[in-house]
Amino acid sequence: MKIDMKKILIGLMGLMCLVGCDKIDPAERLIESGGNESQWADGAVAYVEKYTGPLCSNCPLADRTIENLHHTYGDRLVVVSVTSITNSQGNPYGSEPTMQLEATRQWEQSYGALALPTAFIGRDYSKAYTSSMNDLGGGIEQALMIEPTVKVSVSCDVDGLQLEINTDLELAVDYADVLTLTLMITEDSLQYTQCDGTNVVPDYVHNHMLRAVVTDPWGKSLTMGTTAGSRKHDRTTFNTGGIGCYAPNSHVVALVCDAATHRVLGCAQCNML
Amino acid sequence: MKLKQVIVAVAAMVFAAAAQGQGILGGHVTGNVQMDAQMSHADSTIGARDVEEKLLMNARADILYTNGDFSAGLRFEMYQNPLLGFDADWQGQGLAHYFMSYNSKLLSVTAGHFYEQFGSGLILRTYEDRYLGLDNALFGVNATLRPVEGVTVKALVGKQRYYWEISDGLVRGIDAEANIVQLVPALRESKLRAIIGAGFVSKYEKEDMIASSTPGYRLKLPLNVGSGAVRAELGWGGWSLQGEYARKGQDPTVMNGYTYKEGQVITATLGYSQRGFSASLQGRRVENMSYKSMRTVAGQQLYINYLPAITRQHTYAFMTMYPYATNDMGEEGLQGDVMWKVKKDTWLGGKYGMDIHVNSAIVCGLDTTVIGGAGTNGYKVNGGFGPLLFGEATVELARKLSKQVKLTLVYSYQAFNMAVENEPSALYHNNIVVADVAWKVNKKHSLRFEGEWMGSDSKRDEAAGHADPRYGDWLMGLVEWNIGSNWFVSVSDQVPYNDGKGNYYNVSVGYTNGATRLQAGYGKQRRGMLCIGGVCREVPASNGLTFSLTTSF
Repeated sequence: MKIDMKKILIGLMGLMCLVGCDKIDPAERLIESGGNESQWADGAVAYVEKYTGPLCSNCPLADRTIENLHHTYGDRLVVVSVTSITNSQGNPYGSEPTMQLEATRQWEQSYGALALPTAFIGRDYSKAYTSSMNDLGGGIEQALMIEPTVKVSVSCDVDGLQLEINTDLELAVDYADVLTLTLMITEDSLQYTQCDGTNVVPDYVHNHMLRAVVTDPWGKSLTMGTTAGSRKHDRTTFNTGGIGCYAPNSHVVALVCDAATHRVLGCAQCNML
Repeated sequence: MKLKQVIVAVAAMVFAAAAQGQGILGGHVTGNVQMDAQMSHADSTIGARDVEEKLLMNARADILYTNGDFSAGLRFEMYQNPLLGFDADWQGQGLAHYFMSYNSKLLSVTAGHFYEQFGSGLILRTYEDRYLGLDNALFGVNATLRPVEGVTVKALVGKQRYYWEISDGLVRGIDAEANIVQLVPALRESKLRAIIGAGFVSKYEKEDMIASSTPGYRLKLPLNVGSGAVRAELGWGGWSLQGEYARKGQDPTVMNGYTYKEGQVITATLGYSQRGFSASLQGRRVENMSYKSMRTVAGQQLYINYLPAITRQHTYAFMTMYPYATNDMGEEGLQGDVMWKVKKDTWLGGKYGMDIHVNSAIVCGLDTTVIGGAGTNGYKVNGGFGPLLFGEATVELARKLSKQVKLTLVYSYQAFNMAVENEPSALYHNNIVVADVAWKVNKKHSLRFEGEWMGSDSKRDEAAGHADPRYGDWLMGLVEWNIGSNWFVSVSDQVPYNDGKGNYYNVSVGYTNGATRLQAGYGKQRRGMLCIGGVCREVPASNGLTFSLTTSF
């Protein structure tokens, strides 16, 4: 049988051209996102890491302060509420499931065992906010005046229990030191017991509760340029089956830190759904 | 290492050992091993930092088994931990590359990891460069068909290597090339050379959630992005003309800010050569031609295509201090190159003749107007030229002064725009002079002396955040002593003055025995860019020992 090579070639190339290219008209390029991705922040985003516990008497007071601040600053404030594992006040009430994560032990050890509640802005361990945290607002205001070193944008895609997290990073200024990326999952509207001294607060709702650290506790090393404008994309997958969080109430938090000092250089948060 | 990789590796090793040692299967085994190790400690004057692990090492071993038309190969790689300047994602070890291949006159088929190139690579070139930390090999199937003499058809499907993983993006491609002179018998005796070719590549990648600049909206992304190219190469006697044009569909990626403008590149080279003389003129225009198999990956990994450098690739240290990296987002450039071998026993050539090499290149950005961000076409191109990115003129003279002594003199003028390195635009002008003397003392010993000087108008301004270690004027001296065919010792020092900082000395000793080479060095490395063929990686400052071993069998 004689093979007509010319026809085969033309056919193959024609087929490739037909199937090989999509074109999106300008009017169709934007589709509604459903809110599970963050935008590049226009300015600074303050990161508050708060250590708490179900048996901590002053924690409800601190929570109220933080909720008020959250209403004030909205998306410009990212809060992660960490249940202490080194302080016994972080233990669960009675036989309730624990919110303690082994991953956070290193964080607590890095600033030393302190009373609960304690909060830090941008992991600046030199300034701790405690008790009712009335001075926390001033700290956040100051933090928001400083432009971020790294612009961070995070989005996620949920497929069953499989979570895919996409993080885009861009250096806003020259930065030569090693950076790390820490990814976490937080959950709002959790109902479990909270004490305020000797009493149990009825129907207490916990927000911003840390449910999982997706990366290593101190994050994973990032390799990117050292000059302003250098960019990096990270894609991380995570199976949420082990933590049992309720996706509509959950968020993904991305933190970029200096590897040596752990100071936060940029952060972003998106809804899981 | 994954279990399947272990099985493949063991099977291949046993197979190879049986083939070579017992001669049961016939064929032969070849391979090579390379190990590079580095120790570095802090030096605040050059910005070097301590290496926590004390010792860093990159190592690899390639083994190739060939038996008639059949061949198989594998490569073991280890980065524990990667040398300074290599991406941390390389950390690990395992079987990084394995393939089986059948090659006959009619057909070649490779399954596994492979490297391929269509034309000059404008739409597809997969390759690896161990010194840049690059490996974008495709993992899949590649077939080359030669139905008649002079015609080659290539087709491939695969996914690219991404450090220790495989990219999500799927790459499909087909390319055909015909040698007209071989196809038409009447032309075979003529001086004409004519080759034409065309190729098409398509990548497929699933949807990503990419935010638009409009709150509450994300981008609808093209899942299939195609690129096509046509090329021709004509020659008549000493003349040659090569040209290639490539076009790429909408390809919003992190590299172009998720804009939808289509890409294109056109390149042409006119050349002439005869005995003792050659000249070429090359022009190129690039517009939005970054083509990667994953749209969200920045940096140098996962490129499907390759845009070769349009500037001369230098070897002398100061001439590579401000290297030009191809700007695949947009550039237009021109390069001219003349090589002339002046005959001996002439006024200019002297007793032994002289080589003259003149090269000049100029590269500008595109003249554009920004029309929007993510989701738009990004920019529109105006008619003129954009800012000067790089300009260079180099004259190189090489002449034997006696039977034992050869002198090479180089003068180069370079204009370099810091925008090439994503810095604020600033044009630096550098004058570089090199004198290189090679002296064959006797049958066993030879010496090489190299002196370099660079005068630059670059100025240090640390208060403004300009801590580039290249600032200022520079001097360099190098002495290299070769002892027989086995040993060499080299001592060099680079010193900035006027506005520079640091003292970059290096001492190295090497031993070569057959195909084995061992080298050890101690010294300081300046932070800068390492570029090969227009592709660059950043090299951090280091201060300490280096070791290198290469061997082949």
